[in-house]
Amino acid sequence: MDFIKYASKLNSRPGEPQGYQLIRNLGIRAFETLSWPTKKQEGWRYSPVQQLSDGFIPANDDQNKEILDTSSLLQSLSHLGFYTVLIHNGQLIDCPKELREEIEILTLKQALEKGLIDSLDFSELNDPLEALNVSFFDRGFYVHIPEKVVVEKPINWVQLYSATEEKPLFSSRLHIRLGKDAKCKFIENHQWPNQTESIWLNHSTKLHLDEGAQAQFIQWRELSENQQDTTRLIIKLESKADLHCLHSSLSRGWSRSDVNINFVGSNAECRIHGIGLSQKKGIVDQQTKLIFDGLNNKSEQICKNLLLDQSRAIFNGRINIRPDAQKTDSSQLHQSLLLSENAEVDTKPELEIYADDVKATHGATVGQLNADEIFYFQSRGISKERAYSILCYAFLYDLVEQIADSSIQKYLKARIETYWKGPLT
Amino acid sequence: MLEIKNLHARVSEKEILKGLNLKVNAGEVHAIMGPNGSGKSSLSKVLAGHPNYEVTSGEILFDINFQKTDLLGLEPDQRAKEGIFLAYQYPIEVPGVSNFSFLFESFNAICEHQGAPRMKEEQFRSYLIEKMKLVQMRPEFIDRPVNVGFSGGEKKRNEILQMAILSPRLAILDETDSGLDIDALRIVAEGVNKLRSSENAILLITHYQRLLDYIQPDYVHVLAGGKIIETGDRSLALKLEEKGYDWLM
Repeated sequence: MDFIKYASKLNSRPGEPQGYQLIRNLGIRAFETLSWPTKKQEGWRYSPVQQLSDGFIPANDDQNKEILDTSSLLQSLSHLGFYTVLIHNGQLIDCPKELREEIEILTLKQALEKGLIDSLDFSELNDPLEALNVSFFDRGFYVHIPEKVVVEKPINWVQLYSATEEKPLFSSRLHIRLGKDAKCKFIENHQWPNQTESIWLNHSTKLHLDEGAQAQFIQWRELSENQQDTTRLIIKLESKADLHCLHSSLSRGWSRSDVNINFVGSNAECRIHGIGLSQKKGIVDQQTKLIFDGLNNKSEQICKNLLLDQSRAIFNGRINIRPDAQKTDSSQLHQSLLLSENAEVDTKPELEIYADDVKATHGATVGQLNADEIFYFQSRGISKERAYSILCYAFLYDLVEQIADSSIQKYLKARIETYWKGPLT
Repeated sequence: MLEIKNLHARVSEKEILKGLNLKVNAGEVHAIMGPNGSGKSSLSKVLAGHPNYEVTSGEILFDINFQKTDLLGLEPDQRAKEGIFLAYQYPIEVPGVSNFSFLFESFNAICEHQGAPRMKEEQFRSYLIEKMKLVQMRPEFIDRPVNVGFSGGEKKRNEILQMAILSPRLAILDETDSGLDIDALRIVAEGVNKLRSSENAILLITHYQRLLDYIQPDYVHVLAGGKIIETGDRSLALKLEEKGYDWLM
């Protein structure tokens, strides 16, 4: 499929506003300039790049009129006590009225028209897949949590995808801005309920925390065989912002996260946690890049991968501390638990430090379940099989339990247990 | 209740236990003392079924349903379900598993095996809080990960709490006194004493006489070179404190 041709087709739709064309053209130009990912590039060296151009066709949202039974989905989520927002192929299906009274939810086009975002929000296109996403700019959302607004209930932002074509490529976008001292808990939840065959999701989220804003942000994806997602999470933290981010993939396909965080202010704190569970021939591919520009910022990065069967995990953790970013305190830890002799992990820290008064640590562990822990369980009457199961879940739950909201913890644990019934199944 | 006959065991290629014999009846407390490297901790691990130890000959007979059963044929979890409990010298830390869920899982596994109904979570929480008073543990330890960030004394108290919850028939306390200050030792020992009964037995493995001031044993054994070389009453421990082990070798 000629992706550029598709992007140009969107541009030539009758009545298409110039502003939209401008944004798409930014994407098209960058896409044409940047080379398509190859294994020669460091960030793609271990990734199955050949799968990217393997016959995927941009999903035509206008032709996908399939009606999903969203009422039963909403019903199944109602007990959680979350604000559930449902999006289907880029169309808003459901959003609680109470939430709309607290925050602003607009389409990206509305946000552009109101001047809340502009073409600069679509620039910095260094990644060909981000350029591809921008060149397909059509639908997407802008969520604004105004200054000092505290949203107590977690927001479960569910994006559903379905297509009638074979091998659809979904392209979606979400921009979230937390105003000064605003506070929220947000779960970005991608689902393709009826899609059992090949799909490719190429999604981008931009998250911007203004001064003093606080957020818990969870990005959640579950993939079957032959499914792939390439998702970017582009975060900007202003002074005194406080972010706890959990990016998670449960994958039997290929799930790639590019998490870029830029500390532009000072005294901001960020916990960047990642969970990857890969099964069968699944791949969890996590690329993180933290850029410290301001003074006295702090980050704690922990990424945990549990690997089964012939699955793989890829972790590339870049930390760039620029000359003015004195007093930066940054730690990075990547832990992998290999439950199969055929599982493989490729892990690499990349620290670039240009300031002299900073603290930066990194570490990686690769191992199996601890035999002493298993014996300890057995000596308390718990069978070896059950001990295995508890310890595997505990490995992943360690990070889930750090989310300061028990209802979110409960929900995510249930998702993991639904996806994966334990090591012995 | 327990009869160990001519037990030989090795770890890697090294023989540690070399023909050990011991008989323990219900209601008794036996102290096992001995020099470093004599095989005391190995005996506790062999009894609990640690996979690193290979028993090359001998028997460990334990009364199960009025029948002498060789424990060597049972997996470690089956032994625990039959009432064997090992309090570790160095309790294991388990990040990601709360003390509550660990004990709840363990308690119900044993209940199920013994044909008792499973306890519900809320009911178990009250039961646990009650038992924690025995070892003066604060309720916040319930939801913390097993032994993670616990001090040495807290870890040992947590072991005795587990013993209180699981009510074993044979408790093996492996150097439960090591690393404890006087106050913690007293708390742990009082906890153990409250759990003593005519139905259960305790095997106390220790280096020091001072534990025996708090938990008074019926028998004191000296384990050296992988065998029990001397058995006596409490006065033997006092004599060892005074003279050391050399006079027995």
